[in-house]
Amino acid sequence: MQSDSQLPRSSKPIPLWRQFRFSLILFFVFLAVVPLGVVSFINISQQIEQAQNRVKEQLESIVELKTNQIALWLNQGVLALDIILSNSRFEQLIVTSVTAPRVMSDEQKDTLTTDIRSFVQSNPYFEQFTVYTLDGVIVLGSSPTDIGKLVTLQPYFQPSLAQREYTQPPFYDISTSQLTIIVTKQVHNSGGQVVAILAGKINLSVLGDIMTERTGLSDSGETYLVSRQNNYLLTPSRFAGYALQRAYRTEAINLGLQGRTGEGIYDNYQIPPQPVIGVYRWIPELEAALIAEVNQAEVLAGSRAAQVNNGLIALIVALTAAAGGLIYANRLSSPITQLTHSADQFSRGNLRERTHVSSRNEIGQLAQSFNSMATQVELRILETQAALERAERADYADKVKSAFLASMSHELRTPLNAVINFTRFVVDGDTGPVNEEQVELLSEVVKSATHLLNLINDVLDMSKIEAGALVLFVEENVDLTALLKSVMSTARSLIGGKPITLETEIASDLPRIRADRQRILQVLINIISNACKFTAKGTVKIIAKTVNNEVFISISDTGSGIEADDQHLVFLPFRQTKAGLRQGGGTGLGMPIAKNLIDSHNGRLWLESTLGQGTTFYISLPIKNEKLEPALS
Amino acid sequence: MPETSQPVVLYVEDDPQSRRLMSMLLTGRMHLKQVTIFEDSEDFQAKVEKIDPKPDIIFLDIHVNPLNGFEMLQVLRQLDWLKDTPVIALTASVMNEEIHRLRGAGFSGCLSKPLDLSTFPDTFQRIIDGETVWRIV
Repeated sequence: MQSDSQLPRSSKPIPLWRQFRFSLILFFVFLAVVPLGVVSFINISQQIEQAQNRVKEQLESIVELKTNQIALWLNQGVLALDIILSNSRFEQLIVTSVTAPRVMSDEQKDTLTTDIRSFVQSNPYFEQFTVYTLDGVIVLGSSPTDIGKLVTLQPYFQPSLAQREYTQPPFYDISTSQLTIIVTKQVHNSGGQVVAILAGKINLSVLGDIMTERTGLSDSGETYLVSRQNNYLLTPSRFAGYALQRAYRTEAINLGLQGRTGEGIYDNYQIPPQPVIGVYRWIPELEAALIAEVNQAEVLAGSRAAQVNNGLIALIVALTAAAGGLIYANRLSSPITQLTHSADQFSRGNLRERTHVSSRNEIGQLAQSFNSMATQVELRILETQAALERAERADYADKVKSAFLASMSHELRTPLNAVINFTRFVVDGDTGPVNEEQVELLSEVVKSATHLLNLINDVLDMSKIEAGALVLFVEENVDLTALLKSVMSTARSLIGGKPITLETEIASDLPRIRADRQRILQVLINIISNACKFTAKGTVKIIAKTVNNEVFISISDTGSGIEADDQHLVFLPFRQTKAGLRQGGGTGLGMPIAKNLIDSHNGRLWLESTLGQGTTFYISLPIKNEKLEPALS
Repeated sequence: MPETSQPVVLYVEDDPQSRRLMSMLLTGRMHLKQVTIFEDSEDFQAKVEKIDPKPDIIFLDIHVNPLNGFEMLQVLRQLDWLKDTPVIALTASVMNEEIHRLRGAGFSGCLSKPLDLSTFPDTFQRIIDGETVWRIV
């Protein structure tokens, strides 16, 4: 029944990216990682900001500290000069050496020089001391070569005359090619008049020490001073290769040297520049910018670790979510896979296949529905198969029956051929003279045998009709006029010597139709036979014409007619009208067969009759009979 | 009826009663002189090609051995000189299916058994005149 080519294809494997589990895993991972990512981002941003703020605060406090240290350091310088001059003998010696140098003994001069040198040695704060007159001539000095030189062009000279104490901010000393800070103090004589200036050149290495002292600073941190003088570094860079006497410009240096105090994240002076977090402050005493910086990379190192941690957490969460998704997807998809497998099996014809999904969710419900559907389908298929087998058996039985009927027809007709025709030869005198009684008796033999033949034909036809096995031999262009001629010649022989006029009214334009010629003839002969049989005298009339799309044939007689109550019996098999029974010789099958044959032609057969006046049979056949399929041409 | 214009008849029939009947009809009643009757299709097969004179009408029984009526028709239809000769089936098998087969196979007509003696001569002449007759009653 089902050919192999119609076998349903089994479900193909679905590519991974379309699989349910894949999208579920993706969904889980997305659901887990996205909020985590957002939280991590916010968290890390906050951490970075906090770290930066912390560093800035730290740098600010360092800058504050260093500023104080610088102030203290500068103050120390002044104090140191005070201490020097508090030695009245020393002060007296200075005054004397300025006001009356010739009065001084050599011993006194030596003592003075020795003292000044010892000051320098004992006080690391100063590099050098000089004493110069109000005219700007150096009269004493820790370095003997300085004596006699003029300081009138030095920037501190005028301020030192005007102020008791003066600190000269860093300036570029052309003679030494160095930035130099000078502290001056006026020397008074006993009368309180200024007679000389004591000047100390501050040892900048101390300042350098202050700046390179990195307590509180992280690994990459540094503090340094940049002088307004040419943007030179006042204290050395902690990094190698950055000379003091070179101009440096960064955001912090520029802003600091403009006298501002602030903070920022910017590129420092290094080559290549490093992004740093810095704090800068203007130190007016030094006319320099104090800058504290920490490399940003180091600041962010802490939060980078947090970032890595967060990434790891995200990865772990994603893997967990993926695993969860996989497990969940498997829980969902394995019953679906099982169901698909069962459906495949079922559609391959394994009708016993049932799925064993035990989930209590909707899939379980689906599985149950599938099973009950499978049961229904199996039942239906089994029923259909059984019905088909029954039909096949019935079909076979019909074939056997048909073959039997065909064979019986042949086997009965062959001996009847002999019976009827040998008898007729005798009756007709072909074999010698016969007397009247013999003729009469032998004619009865012929008549009975012919009746038997008709009976056989009718019974065969009827059994075929009842089995639905009657097949029309449909031809195109059946000539009804020719058929009717044949019918009339039969009628004439049936009328014999009876006083009956045979009238015909056959239209000349009668169309050729699609029909079974033999069967139409059979119907017409049957009707005309009845007409002749039941009419003693009068007229038998055949009319044939075209009405609308139909061929219309009527055969009327002036015979005994049929009682109204009997008219419906005419077309019922094995039933005969009272007149028919009286007349005898009929099978009661002729008209039912005729009706069936006309019905098979999609036509109509009916009658009108009045008892005692006659009967008219009507046949109408469609001209265009599309539903009738012609056999071979 | 002059002998020269009398039709030549060929008949194949294995049933002796049917043969006798046709013989009585054709030679007895219709006074035909040139009637050849083969008792079976083997005989027919052996002699058909040398039939002389040429038949004007051929009657074939259908239920014959070893060749049935259809097969004999095939043999006849292959003979060029007989292609215009009407070949009539004479059969007791008048079930519709059988008649369909006869028409489909190319018989020129059919007469059913039992034969109608009273109409036979007229039918015979009509067939000779080239009419197609399917008389099944």
